Amino acid sequence: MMKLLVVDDEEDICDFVRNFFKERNFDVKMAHNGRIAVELVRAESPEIVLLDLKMPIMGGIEALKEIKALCNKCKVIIVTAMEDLESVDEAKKCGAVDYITKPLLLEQLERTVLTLAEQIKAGTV
Amino acid sequence: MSYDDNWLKLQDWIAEKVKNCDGALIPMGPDIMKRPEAELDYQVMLESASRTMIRFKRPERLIKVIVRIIDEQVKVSHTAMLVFQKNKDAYVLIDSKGAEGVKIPVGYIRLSTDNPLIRVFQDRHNYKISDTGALEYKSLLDSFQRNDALKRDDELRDLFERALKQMELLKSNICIPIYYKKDLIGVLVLGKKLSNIKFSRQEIGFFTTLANDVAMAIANAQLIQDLQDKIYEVHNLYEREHKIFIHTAISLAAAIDARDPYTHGHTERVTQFALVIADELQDMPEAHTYKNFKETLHVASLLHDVGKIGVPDSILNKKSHLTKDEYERVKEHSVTGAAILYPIRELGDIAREVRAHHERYDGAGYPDGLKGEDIPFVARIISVADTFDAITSDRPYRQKKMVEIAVQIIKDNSGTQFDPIIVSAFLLAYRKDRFKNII
Repeated sequence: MMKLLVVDDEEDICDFVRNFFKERNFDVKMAHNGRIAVELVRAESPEIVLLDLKMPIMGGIEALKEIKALCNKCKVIIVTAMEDLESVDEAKKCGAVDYITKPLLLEQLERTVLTLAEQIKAGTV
Repeated sequence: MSYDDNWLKLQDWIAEKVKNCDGALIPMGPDIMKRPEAELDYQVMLESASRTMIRFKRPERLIKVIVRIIDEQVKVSHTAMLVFQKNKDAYVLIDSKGAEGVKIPVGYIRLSTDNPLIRVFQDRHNYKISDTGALEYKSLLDSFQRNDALKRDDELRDLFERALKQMELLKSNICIPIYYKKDLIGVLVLGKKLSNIKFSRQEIGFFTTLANDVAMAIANAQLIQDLQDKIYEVHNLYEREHKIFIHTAISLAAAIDARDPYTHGHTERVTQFALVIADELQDMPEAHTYKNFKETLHVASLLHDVGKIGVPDSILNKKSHLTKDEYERVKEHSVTGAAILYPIRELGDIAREVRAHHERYDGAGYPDGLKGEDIPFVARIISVADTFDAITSDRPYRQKKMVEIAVQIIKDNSGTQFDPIIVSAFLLAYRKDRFKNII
């Protein structure tokens, strides 16, 4: 089963996304800040990380850099506010493969993660 | 307690709470107004909701209350309310409830305007979704087998299939559209009932009612916000640019008028009648008690029915006779109107006139039962103009005869309903044929 790490400081969101992808056959882990996310990446090496950029303790970009340094095969999709497209550029430079803007379209969330999962399986990414 | 008992109790409680408050917008039949006793926390909730409605400013609070009512009373896995937001050009989740992990987080998702669910609701005139207007997952699934229209029309079937997929993403068993006039302004999304029983027609009807209230609260809030924005804009121009101010009032009046197809143009005619009558009253000492008599009259006439914003469309547009309760709701419009205008500084004086435009000279009017000269002068003029238009526009063709009858009625009620001085001025204007171009 493919491992997905959901990183968001809002518990509601983590719970919802965990459920959403559990039903789509992912092994889902959760982290409420960047620090925990990095620890979980170290311990679990998830294939995909769904990373919210705006978080306390350790922000998304900083976490992204550490995650990529720690586990280069982790594919990171960032989640950011619609208005904050500048940080998308920065995140891409730091190795994020894709992004989703909040408030998000559920079909986009589903498609982005499932497509990436298939690409990982097929070894095309 | 059985499910049905709970259901009835909920309806009672809401009926009880809303029937006496200004601007409360839940239209219900008289038969469910009977049963008393409500639970305390609901009382608090709805009272705060009705306060919100009076202020017409915070529809989100009403949305929260409604989502909570549904969550607690109907026992569904989750509930979510999405409302259209112009700046995001999408339907955004404003409030939600439900179990951990099932509840869709507030602000987390949006539905784009081309979302198949949204399109199904927007194109509702092209085909009938269901009797209730709601979209049910199970019925929709069944309709692929039964509905011939769907079998024939590939495009339609594709749209419905994609709508189904959306409902799956949202884990929704039923979606209720929220319309204001022709626009889809929101969607109420419900999960499955915890009892696993199908939603009853009664329940769906009730959700639709709640959805309508949300629509009205949102639309009203927008209307009031627009007015206040405009008033604010013209505030500094007030002295120099009178016209803009008057036009603001006119556009608001037109918005009010538009809601009531049976009295189309009423506000405009009443204003014209009142101004013509006032020409005969210019030199009265009472006219001089106003800083600007003509303008006060002009704006007050334009806005005299602004409080009808708080009367449900179902009552306003009713073709048959109103019940006693419904009539009472209509009567609230003068108080509601004054409440809306009062906080706006420029309209503070107007509020007093609007409040009093259904007072009677003999003290038998409403809302305060003011008598004689205690009724503000401008309100006394509007009262005559208002009645005159009500009678003359009561027929499809405004025959000359109706005008004569109306004049006679006004004359007959001089000293009882109307101030004799205003009636004299009215008759003077009538004999000069000054109403000719207005009627």
